[in-house]
Amino acid sequence: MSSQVATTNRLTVNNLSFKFRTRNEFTLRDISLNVSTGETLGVVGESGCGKSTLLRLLVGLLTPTSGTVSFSGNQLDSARTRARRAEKPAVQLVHQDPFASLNPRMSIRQIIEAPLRVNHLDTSRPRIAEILDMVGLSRSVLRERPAQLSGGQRQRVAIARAISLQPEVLLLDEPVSALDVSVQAQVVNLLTDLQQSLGFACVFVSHDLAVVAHVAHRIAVMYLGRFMEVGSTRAVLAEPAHPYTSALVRAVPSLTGAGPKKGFQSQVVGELSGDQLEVGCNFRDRCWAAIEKCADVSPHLERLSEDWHVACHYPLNR
Amino acid sequence: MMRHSALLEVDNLSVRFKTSQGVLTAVDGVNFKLDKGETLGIVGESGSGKTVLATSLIGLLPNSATVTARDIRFGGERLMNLSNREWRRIRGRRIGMVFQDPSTALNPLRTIAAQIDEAISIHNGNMTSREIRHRSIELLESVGVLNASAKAHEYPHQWSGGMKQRAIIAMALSNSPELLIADEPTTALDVTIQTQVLDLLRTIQKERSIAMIFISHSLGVVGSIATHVGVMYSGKIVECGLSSDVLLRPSHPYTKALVDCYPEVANVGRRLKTIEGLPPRNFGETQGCRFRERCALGRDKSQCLETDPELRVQINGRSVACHMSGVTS
Repeated sequence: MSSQVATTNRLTVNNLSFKFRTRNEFTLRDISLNVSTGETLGVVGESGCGKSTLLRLLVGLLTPTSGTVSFSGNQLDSARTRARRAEKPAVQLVHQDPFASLNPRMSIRQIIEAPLRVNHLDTSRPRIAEILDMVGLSRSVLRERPAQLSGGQRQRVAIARAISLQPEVLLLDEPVSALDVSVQAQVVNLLTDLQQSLGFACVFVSHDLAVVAHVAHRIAVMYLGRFMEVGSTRAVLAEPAHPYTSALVRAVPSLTGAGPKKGFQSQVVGELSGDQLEVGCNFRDRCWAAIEKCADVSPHLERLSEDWHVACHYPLNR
Repeated sequence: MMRHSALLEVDNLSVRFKTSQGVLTAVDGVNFKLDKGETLGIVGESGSGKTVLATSLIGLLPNSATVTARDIRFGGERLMNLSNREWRRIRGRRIGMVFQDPSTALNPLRTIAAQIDEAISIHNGNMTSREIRHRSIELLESVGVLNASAKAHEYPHQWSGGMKQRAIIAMALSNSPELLIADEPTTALDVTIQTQVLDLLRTIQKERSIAMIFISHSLGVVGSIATHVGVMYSGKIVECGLSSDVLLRPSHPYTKALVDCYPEVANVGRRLKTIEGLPPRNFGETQGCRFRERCALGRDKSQCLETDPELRVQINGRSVACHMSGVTS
């Protein structure tokens, strides 16, 4: 990936590594990425691969062990936390579970007004109405409390809160995985529309490759704290270069192959373990294509084409 | 599915709950038959009655529920008006159940082995504790737990979600049931682990030739494991048939809409279709088709407003409950 900060790059991350104080191994290692205006980067991987930790680093809830995070060229600096709070936030985060992320004792009006108040912004009726309109909620929800809303409505409230501050970067942590498939589609489309009208850059974290396929322009596949493959969604999903990506793609249940699969076997054996290997490829124990070199040398992200990088000694189909 | 003396025959099953807002009909007149070696997948949105349907077949509904049916026959026995004692004879022995969340389905204070032992000993009073433990270890091995004799002495928190779900499957199989009910067994798992668990269930079913009811909100998951599928909407089965048939050539407008909004890896960048609105809640008496307000075909048809369509058999053993089925959209 290019480490240069182009003018349209809203979010730039350089060699970000992170280690929890209580753990010996790194939770994230050498993550570099940039997301430009109007672009969505999908980050996929199994539970425990570090997706949510990455988002927490991006909003400054955790401090990187090394590496930098910048928004439109301004570096996120933990020493300036207080000063940063005084500025209008450039980044907003939408959490996974709208049942847990909204305060059950507050009315929707209070929930939507809170971030505006904190930042001394307009909380007038027309402004609130405008925000509700953007996320497709009717004014009648303002008097309700979260428990009275459906899951889809709650997630719309969470999105309304985030976009009301007009962030440059919107981070989404599994925003639709708690929702039914019909509601999931509504929320995914809403996010796409909002991005088109507001132009924010977006990082969409999900374990669901199929949802990411519909929303992300580029995709980053994560395994044990490292990016294994990064590239345009179309290219990566059509012809995965990393064995892990290929396994993930094959594991997604598809309707086109409906009916019980005869003799279908999962491609990846075993499970993601918390322990990273000192040397060699982290994925080798579960990889069907691993050979000796994979145990001895750690693969790094190598360039396959203009916008396609893979961390594998023997990329598929190459 | 339409053969004589099937393993499980459900005839006009309804479940109602008394609530402060009135009587809620969670399951409304459901009929189906299921035979040995078949898997019936039940799909539908949250609140469509999938879980209530399954729990009514294993007698685990709370006391506030009223179950009525013309008949429920399971391997020569009637599963109606049973006492708790009679249910315990069937539940866990002839019918096994796998629940959605493996981390809440196990007791955190007891070892995995002790919990499987318990499931065996309850139904096999004559076995010695040594025999029981031996059986537990065998079961864990059969569901793919490596190094089972050592791992069995660990506690649930030491096991990953996928391994816990394997332990729960082992427990459900411990008394060689004829019917296995799996309620969203892979929803809490990662896709790679989901594939492994689906492989396991498929293998078990082939080897033991048991019948399975598999509940999921994911059409893709149901499609990959079920021979037959029933689509539930607002307490009713609105379409039922061979899963390859129903999911690839849906006939009911609701099934069509569900299939259309299902995200696919192959459709990169394509906008998802949606179903506007929310499923209704069935308080009191309802009139007409329940999907009417969200339906593109029947929204303003008087027929759909006045009469609730019945599930009618079409060609190929497919049943559809829609006045408009056959009308092309």
